[in-house]
Amino acid sequence: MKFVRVNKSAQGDGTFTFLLSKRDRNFLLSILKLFPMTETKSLRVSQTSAKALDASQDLLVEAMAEQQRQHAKKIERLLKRPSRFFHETEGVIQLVLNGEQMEWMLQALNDIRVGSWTRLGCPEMEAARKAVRTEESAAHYTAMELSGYFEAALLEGFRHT
Amino acid sequence: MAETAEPVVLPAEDQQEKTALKDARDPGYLVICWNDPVNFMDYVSHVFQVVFGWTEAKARRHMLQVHEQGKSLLTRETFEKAEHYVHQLQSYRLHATMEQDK
Repeated sequence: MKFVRVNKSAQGDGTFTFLLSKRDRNFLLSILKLFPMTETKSLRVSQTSAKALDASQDLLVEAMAEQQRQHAKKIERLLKRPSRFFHETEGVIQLVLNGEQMEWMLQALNDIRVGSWTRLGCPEMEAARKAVRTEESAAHYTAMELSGYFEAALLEGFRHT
Repeated sequence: MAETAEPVVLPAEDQQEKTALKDARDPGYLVICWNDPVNFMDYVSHVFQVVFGWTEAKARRHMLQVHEQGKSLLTRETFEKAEHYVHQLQSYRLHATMEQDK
């Protein structure tokens, strides 16, 4: 997936256009189907276990679970009608996203990346490939790498704003 | 019939004492971002810019501090604000926590 351009509107917002191969599009749709991958219960609001933070810890888990539900709905809509996002003309596929869509997609992809990395046992990046010993860990490794690939493309788009 | 209480205005000194006491109880919370090997450096910079509205240079400075020193103190806030920032950062799956400033 390659960033092509950003079209700014008079209101200051705009759309980001990416060029994709068929394989890219299929990979992106397949990878988004994995969402969510992060266990919200494992997220920690603090490194200390102060009593004052107990309610805050519960609130964090609840807020992140709600965020996952919202993202899941958006992904479901995308998977139901990919033509709203992907435009195909003469074999050329373009993905067009506005700023808000860029942000939720980036968050969703990173949820998949971090969740896959956690399931691999949180290895250092150089050791991640060595952590692949089973079919399941191979799937996590692939998901981590692929989501990273799409994240990098989205970040390239943000660099042009 | 119950008596209507006269409004009591505390002398300025008492007000100051009250504020000092409150500060002692609520010394503030530090929002810290911790290093991990999975989040891209550019991604972390982007998140700092979005969440705090920082310039690219400031966001990059803090990102490098996370990367090189293992953590970066992002801001010192009241409990509520620190909690808000931690939620924002964790919504991007950054390893961020709030710690009481002692």
